[in-house]
Amino acid sequence: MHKRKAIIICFIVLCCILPLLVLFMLSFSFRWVYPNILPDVFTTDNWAEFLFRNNSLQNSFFTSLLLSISVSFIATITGFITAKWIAYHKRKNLLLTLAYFPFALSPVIFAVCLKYYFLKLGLAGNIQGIIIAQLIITFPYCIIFFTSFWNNKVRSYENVSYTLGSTGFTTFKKIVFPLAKQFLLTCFFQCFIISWFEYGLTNVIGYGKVQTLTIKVYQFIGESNIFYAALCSCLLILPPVILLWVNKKFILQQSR
Amino acid sequence: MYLRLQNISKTYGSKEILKGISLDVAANNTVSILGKSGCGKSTLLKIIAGLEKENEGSILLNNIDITNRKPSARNIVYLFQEALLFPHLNVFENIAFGLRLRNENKEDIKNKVTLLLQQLELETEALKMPDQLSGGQKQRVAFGRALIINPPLLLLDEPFSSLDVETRSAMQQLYKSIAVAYNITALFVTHDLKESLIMGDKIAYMENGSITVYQDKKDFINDIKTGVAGEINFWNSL
Amino acid sequence: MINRFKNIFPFTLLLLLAVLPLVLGIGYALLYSFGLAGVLNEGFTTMHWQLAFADNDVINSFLYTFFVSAVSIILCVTVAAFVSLYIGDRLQKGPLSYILYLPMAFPTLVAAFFFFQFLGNAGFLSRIFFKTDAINDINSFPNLVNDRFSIGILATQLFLSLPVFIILNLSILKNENVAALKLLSQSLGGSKWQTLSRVTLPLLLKKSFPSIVLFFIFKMGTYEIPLLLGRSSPEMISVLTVRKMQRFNLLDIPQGYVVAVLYALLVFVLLAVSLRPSKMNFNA
Repeated sequence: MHKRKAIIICFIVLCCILPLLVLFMLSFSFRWVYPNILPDVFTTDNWAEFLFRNNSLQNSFFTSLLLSISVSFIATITGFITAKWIAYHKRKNLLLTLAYFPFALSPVIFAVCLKYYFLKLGLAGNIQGIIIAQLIITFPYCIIFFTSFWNNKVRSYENVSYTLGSTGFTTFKKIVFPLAKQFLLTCFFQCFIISWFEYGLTNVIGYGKVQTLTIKVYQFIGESNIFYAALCSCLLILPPVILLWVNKKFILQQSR
Repeated sequence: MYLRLQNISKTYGSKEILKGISLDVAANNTVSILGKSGCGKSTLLKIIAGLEKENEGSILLNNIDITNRKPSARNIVYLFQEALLFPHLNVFENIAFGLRLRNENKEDIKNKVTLLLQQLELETEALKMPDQLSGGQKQRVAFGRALIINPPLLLLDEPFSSLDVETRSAMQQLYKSIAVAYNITALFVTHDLKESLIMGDKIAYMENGSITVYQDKKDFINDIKTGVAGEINFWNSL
Repeated sequence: MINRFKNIFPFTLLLLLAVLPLVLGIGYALLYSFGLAGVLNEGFTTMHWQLAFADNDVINSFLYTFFVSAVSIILCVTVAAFVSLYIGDRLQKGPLSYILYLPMAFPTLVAAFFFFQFLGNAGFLSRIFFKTDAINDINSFPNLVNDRFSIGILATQLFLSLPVFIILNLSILKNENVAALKLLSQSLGGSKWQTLSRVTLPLLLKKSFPSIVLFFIFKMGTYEIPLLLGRSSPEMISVLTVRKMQRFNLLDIPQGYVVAVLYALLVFVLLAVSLRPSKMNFNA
């Protein structure tokens, strides 16, 4: 009985860790001839290339980082404010439904439907456009995320604070913000990850001109350069793994 | 009169919650309002505190019309059924909250809070967080948090209803003694017959959004709809 | 004045970032599909709709997408229920509780890339089979990517979603105090099997139902996984839509929008029929 459980646990652990190991291993090589299980050559060249030489990879990394930080910052704040308005609104359910639809739609299909407007507004193929496009999918996510924060309890705390003589701003600073801090942080990182992972929408709106890391991965796969693709994959996995180590909740986003 | 409510009405959609309520409360008096759940008593308190907006009517506090003032400018403290202690602040900071808002100096705050903690028998709990307290202790902290800013009017919305019988009666006694010590003017809402008799200098009965105020306790006892007569009969018939 | 601003600001945000894109996007797709917008713009016509339906590709794509998503979600829910009930207590503590979250650190594209490398003909698994003499040349390794049974797609989806559902189940088991309910059921004379089939499983399913539907919708819209691991026919909806839009044949573009409109409609119906937002609880 215990043996069977142990086997299942080992299998789960293997399933979770193996992809990481394989990608990591591939990122340290440039030749892997069939049928060898391990790559023929191990080298730090790929990483050295990224860290010290290849500017296009570094650019991608920092573009992705800048993009994801801007998107999650704006989405978290706007979502927080809008969610409060929705949560205390008479027609809460209707408004929430409006947020659910864009959230459930496939980003890439949404993107092809919106591409025309992005072109007309000069927002296709540049980073501003992608920020806005990604906001369109992360903002509803934040609204849904924060409606669970703006409940009657928080409202009561606000009321207590008002009757004790505090203004709206002080109540926010001393009561709402401390209560919401963890929520805001979690939402920020979950958005960060949604944006960091996004490929289809970024590709459609960015015309492949804005080279985020995911776009790079796809390019390298197309060029059959699995070693560079693996390197980019590792770079993509790195921030979420760090976040996971800090707090599991940070990466528990529910999207595709 | 210290607090004067004139003809307060409130409707939600087509539902009339309050039908022209008028009520006077004298200074340093506690008026208890007895009523079943859903009779509109909480709505009335929220309107007085400024947390809800009335459709009609006016509120005078110490002869000043406060009807259109924001809750934070009324100085009226509302005590809820739940203690609603701020979960991220400890007992001391919860009680000090109102004083900190008023930017009082640190030494004063420390003295006032310490004194109140003593009166509320909470000295040993000062550094505890709200989730480490019992129900009665939480309610006492909430009470202290309200009292410390010396509010001209206290609104109590069934503050003891979630406590067990013994704690409840201890809290009622504590309230009575503190009300005298601090010259408190208050409205005390409850659905408990006995509690309304114990707490109120004057008693009112609320039903379907209308209020009846009794001149003295005898009138209250004699009015059949308050249920006192039925209660007496029950005990007598045993 | 301030109060008015407090209402107008979030209202504007909701309008600009959620409602307007939705209405404009679907509206444009709808107009295009009826020949009222875009390069062709030849006036109202139902031709593109007829063409789209005359073409088996579109119908097959919808059926295929539905089928793959359904199989994927059923597999996921079943395995997650088994794992969380059988060894759930072991997964909540220590390093295991972290390892379980690892798949969530994978972008969809990267997960698809890994499985492409792992299951492909020249992939990791094939090499292991070769070295252990299970196969004797590269071509005798079965097709597991771009294959008939969509094994690559299903494996990747399982890898990505299974942890989410296991974690969801574990939190339901904890929040609903299932351990106590199990004892209660047994004290009322229920056998182990009866307790499982009448208490534990129905409770898990009922509580996770909103997430199940939502993930089903997500899976229907998935793009990167079938892009790398799917076959060229039938394709999943997003791949088909994007491909039709990128064709040089101008007649393909309006058909792409037909697919987009149908897909959006399907999502709306699924959301509206099966989910009441008020009941949805999102943070497991």
